[in-house]
Amino acid sequence: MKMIWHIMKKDLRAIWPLWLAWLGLIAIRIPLILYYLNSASEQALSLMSLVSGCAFLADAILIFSLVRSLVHEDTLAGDGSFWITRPIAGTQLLFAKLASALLVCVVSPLVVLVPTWWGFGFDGTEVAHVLTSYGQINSGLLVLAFLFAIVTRRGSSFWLVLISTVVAFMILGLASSMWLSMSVSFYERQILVYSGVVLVLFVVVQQFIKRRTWIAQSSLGVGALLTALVSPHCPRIDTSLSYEKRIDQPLTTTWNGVGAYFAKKDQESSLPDYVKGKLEIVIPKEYTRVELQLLKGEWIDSKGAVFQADGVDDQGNLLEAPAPAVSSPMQKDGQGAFTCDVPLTLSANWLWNKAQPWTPTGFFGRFRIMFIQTVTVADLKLVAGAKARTGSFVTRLVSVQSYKDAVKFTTIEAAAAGSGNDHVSLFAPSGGRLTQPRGSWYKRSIPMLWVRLEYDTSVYSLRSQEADGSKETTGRVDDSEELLAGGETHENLGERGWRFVKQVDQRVGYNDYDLKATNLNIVKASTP
Amino acid sequence: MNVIETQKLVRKYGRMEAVHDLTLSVPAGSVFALLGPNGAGKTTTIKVLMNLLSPTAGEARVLGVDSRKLGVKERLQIGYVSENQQLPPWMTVRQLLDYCRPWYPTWDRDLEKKLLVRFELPEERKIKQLSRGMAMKVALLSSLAYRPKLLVLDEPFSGLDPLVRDEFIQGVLEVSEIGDWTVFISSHDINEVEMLCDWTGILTGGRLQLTERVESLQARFRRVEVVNDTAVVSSVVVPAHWLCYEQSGTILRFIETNFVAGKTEALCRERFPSAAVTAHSMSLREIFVALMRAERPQSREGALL
Repeated sequence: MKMIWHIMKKDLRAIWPLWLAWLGLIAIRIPLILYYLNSASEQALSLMSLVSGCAFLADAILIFSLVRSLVHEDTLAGDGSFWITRPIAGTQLLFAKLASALLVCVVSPLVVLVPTWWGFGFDGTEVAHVLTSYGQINSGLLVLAFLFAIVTRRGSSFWLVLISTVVAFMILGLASSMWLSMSVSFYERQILVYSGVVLVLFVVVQQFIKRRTWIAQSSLGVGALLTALVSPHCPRIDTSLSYEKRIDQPLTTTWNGVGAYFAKKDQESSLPDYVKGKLEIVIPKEYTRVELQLLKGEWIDSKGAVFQADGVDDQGNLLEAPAPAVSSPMQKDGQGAFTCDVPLTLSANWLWNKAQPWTPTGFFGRFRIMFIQTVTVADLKLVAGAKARTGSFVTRLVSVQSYKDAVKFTTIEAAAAGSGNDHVSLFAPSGGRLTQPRGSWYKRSIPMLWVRLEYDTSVYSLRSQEADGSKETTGRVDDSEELLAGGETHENLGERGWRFVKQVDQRVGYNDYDLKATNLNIVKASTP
Repeated sequence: MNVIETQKLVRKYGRMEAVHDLTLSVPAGSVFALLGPNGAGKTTTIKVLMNLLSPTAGEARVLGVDSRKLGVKERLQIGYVSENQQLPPWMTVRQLLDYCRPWYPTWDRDLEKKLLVRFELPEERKIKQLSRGMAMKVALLSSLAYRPKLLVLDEPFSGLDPLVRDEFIQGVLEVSEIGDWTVFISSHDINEVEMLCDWTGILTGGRLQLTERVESLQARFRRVEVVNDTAVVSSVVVPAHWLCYEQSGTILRFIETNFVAGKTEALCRERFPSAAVTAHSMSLREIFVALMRAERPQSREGALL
């Protein structure tokens, strides 16, 4: 133990200028964020996004640099290192390096950040909540950097190998998707994760105990290769297109968020920009009340629902309690989970922007959102610039609807048909695919020329939302009043309802029609 | 007792055999010089001995332990200095010594101070600011101060100027007088090594040509000059232990590898009855060069004149 500390002292002395610079960078960020958070303007938030993005990039690079420097203080690859012929055990060195890396990359930034979080009004529990998340991300970066550092000798080779691996990883992932269509199940993924852990341990043992660099390097290469082939996070080319319907489809994909996203208390936040889906905001049990208020945009009132219990049944389906009153503030139920289907616009920056802009967690959230984006590419739409005011703070984005069971939108089966539905949202995606097993970075936009809806009810409200804003027309079938909406044609089919024909501009990525009706029964909706 | 022993040691890099069937013994208390030209396999041998490389075949034992199992306990008794060793460049000399000291229970602070003075090392200067020679002296100091039983020096003089070489050698000589240490040194700088060693092994092409006490080696090697009255007949058959046989008019020169006073002269007189024979003692360097030349195919042919 004494000698481990002895090595650590030496290593920390070697890297202190860089270490200090990094902590300085973190500290400098705080007043900036405070300033932008308090200003709460769109412009400020955008700027904060930029600052946070650059900061995360800097964090990642500095973590890699610090870990590399720590490990290369006593190089493991090659035979020229000073320590090799000294009475230093491999295990001592391993523990010393790991402890130093954890201290530098995980513990020390928290020492800077925690007081700030306290300053924002978060209590110990809340701060502790985010520590896990923060620790996970930095530890992940740390392990990755550690692996590359122990199999390389110099900084140049470290960066070269790292960049080459990332590029090769992406190329291989893209290429393999052309001929390898592999869907990874949950259990397979678990096996992959455990295999990865075993591989990491194997490489570490080979280098620190056995000092067999060639075997360690080969193992790491093979591991990266296999990961690239099967990883769901590897970019894929989506070569197929399909359309999805979105008429009260059951939630088929639940995305579990990554822990906590802190917003300053009473922080006015922009909701995400272009994912239409379910946003479940989980409020910690310590809170007895939450206010969620839209400052801009609209609630679709009947969709503001409170889920019972944890909101999920044994099969993982969401349980929807009777919809509460539309009015804000909404009351929190006993379990503290709200799920609101709002015309929200989920920006890729959302979590990052509003939640925890001064830690990489937010960016990690962004990454996850990007992943969702790849899965739910058809759901993306700029609906409206909605804003929410949180009386408490948003902790997690736990689910986003993804409409996995895709069917072509040539004819929408009236899934929501039947009496009793008073609201349906028709969702005509422009392209992309939700069922791509591994996601895709590939976004397609196919113009939808027109949509025809036939319904046999008395419409009292028709709302059409597009990228350029929202239009709403109301009327009653009984009145035979023609619904006019910017060049759209509507044909009264008498008892059969209305035929609504909409000419959509080229390259409109998304069209959404919200119909509020009594006893709505959609017969057909189609594209040519 | 032998501090280092190898038995039919083989080390290959792919198909290339760097060390071939090396059987070697280094007696305790000796200063053993492993000599050889560049690429002879000296560094590879040392790396195998230090467990920096694994042997392909055969066995190497250091301080009685299989080199593959050298651990902390053995390393406490081994000092290693190599031209390729990387010292932490950001450390000062003082910091390096402070870092090394706790690892060795036998660290001798008096010896450390003495060597600091002896080597004229600036304690507060960073290692990256030191010359190559100074850095080598720091490495040597950090390997001597704990009085290892075995000191391994791999090409320690490479790239050092003559003055620093002298200081380095003097340093090793001084400490080797202090205790009963074994020094194993590899080099192709034979003049320097000659001042140090009492045992030598000569390695060429991964094969050990000889291993012997320097004293005995120098006793049996002689540069012999034979001056004949008439031109030498080229068909004279010379013994195999005469190396580098040359003739120029009436003068013959060769290296006697098995010199015994009187006997060599008698052998010469059998072939050249009226010749004047003189035998000169040889330095280790001359012996080494003679052996290297003898390795060349044309020399062997020459030896059969």
